[in-house]
Amino acid sequence: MKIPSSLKTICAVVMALLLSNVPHVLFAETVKNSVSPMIPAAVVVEELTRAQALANVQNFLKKPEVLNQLAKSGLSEKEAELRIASLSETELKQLSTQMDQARAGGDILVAILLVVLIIFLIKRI
Amino acid sequence: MNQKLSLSIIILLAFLSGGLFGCVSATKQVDALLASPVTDLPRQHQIEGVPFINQAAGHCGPATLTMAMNWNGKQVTVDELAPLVFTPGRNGTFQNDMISASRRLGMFAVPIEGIPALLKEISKGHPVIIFENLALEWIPQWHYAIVFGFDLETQTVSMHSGPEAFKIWDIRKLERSWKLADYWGLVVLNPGQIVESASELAHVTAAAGLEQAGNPKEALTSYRAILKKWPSSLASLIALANDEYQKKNFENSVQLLRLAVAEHPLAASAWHNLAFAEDAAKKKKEARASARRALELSSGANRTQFEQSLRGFLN
Repeated sequence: MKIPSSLKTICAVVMALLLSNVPHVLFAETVKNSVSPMIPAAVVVEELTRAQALANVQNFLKKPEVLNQLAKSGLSEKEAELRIASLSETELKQLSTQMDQARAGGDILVAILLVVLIIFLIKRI
Repeated sequence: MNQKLSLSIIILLAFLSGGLFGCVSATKQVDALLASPVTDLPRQHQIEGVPFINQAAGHCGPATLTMAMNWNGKQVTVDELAPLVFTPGRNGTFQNDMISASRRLGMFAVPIEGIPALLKEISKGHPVIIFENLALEWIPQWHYAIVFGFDLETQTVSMHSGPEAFKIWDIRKLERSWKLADYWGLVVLNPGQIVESASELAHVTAAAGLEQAGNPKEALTSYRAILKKWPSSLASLIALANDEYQKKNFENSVQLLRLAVAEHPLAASAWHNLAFAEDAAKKKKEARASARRALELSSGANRTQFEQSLRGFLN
């Protein structure tokens, strides 16, 4: 029995494909596609939240009343900024929120004392 | 003799009350508002049709949240909501659970703060859930109520509070008890709406919360509305671009992200995603440039992650 040469060629190509790593590559591609490489918006929101909290606290540090309190306690503006920068995500958010709430209540003094207190507690423990 | 005695009692009482409430007024925000009225705020406003739901003891959290949701047309009962928000061990509801329960049920929940924000929201037709302390600072009695009307002429607010439906309350009393709970308020709306007195960041946080609670459709609706109000909202542009990417509309994704980097040239995440969108849209050369820009702008923890994910573009 004679096998047509065209069929032979097709068989050879199919065999070669099966033996080669093409199916693996195809499989890997589909897997890669199902997991999006894009950074999710929620992650971006987290980054923005941290940046906002940092800016909030840093702006507050620039206030003359706060600088006064810090100076009285023997802390330079620079050192205070360095301490703020070393706060963890959670600590920073807490500080920022508490500051806002104290200010919303109209207790600017409470807010100042809070910031000074927290700055002092950092690195002391 | 008698007159002298009563006079001294009055003086004594005056001193005592001065000592109790402090020399400074406890209702600063109301005082400020009445002293110099905000021009874009009406003198009074009542939101009609906020349903009243009676509650079991300690269930003011689930009850007010149910009222807010039903008012939005969301069909849900107190009994369905309670397991999502109520903490039996504390016989109460934490504020965070009010927010997360709203998001789990696909509602757009944004915290607000302070008397001006409260009145502004009511004037825009949004009832506000408030968290207050009805007792003293050191023996708190926490309580949730829903406020839906105010009248600056009579200096009152209208609210459903505990068993009292349509309660009319002195606005200064409200400020005193609200202040003791840090002026925490919550607006719960259908996705696609805007909370006038809240920031863009508060809005995208609420939208991201919906996404994380497993409601991507509601999140996208929110991001679209945010983009209408804040056309350069970075998180919203990225959210919509990611959605287009997932639907394989790569050209649209590229366009949104190019807008994002034009508005926020220092946003490493936007450049990062743009590289992948351009790559998928067969713009290989641009993709490489975007990837390089993303890497330049990345810092700290991001850097290692970016080097890893972008390494395909950098050869």
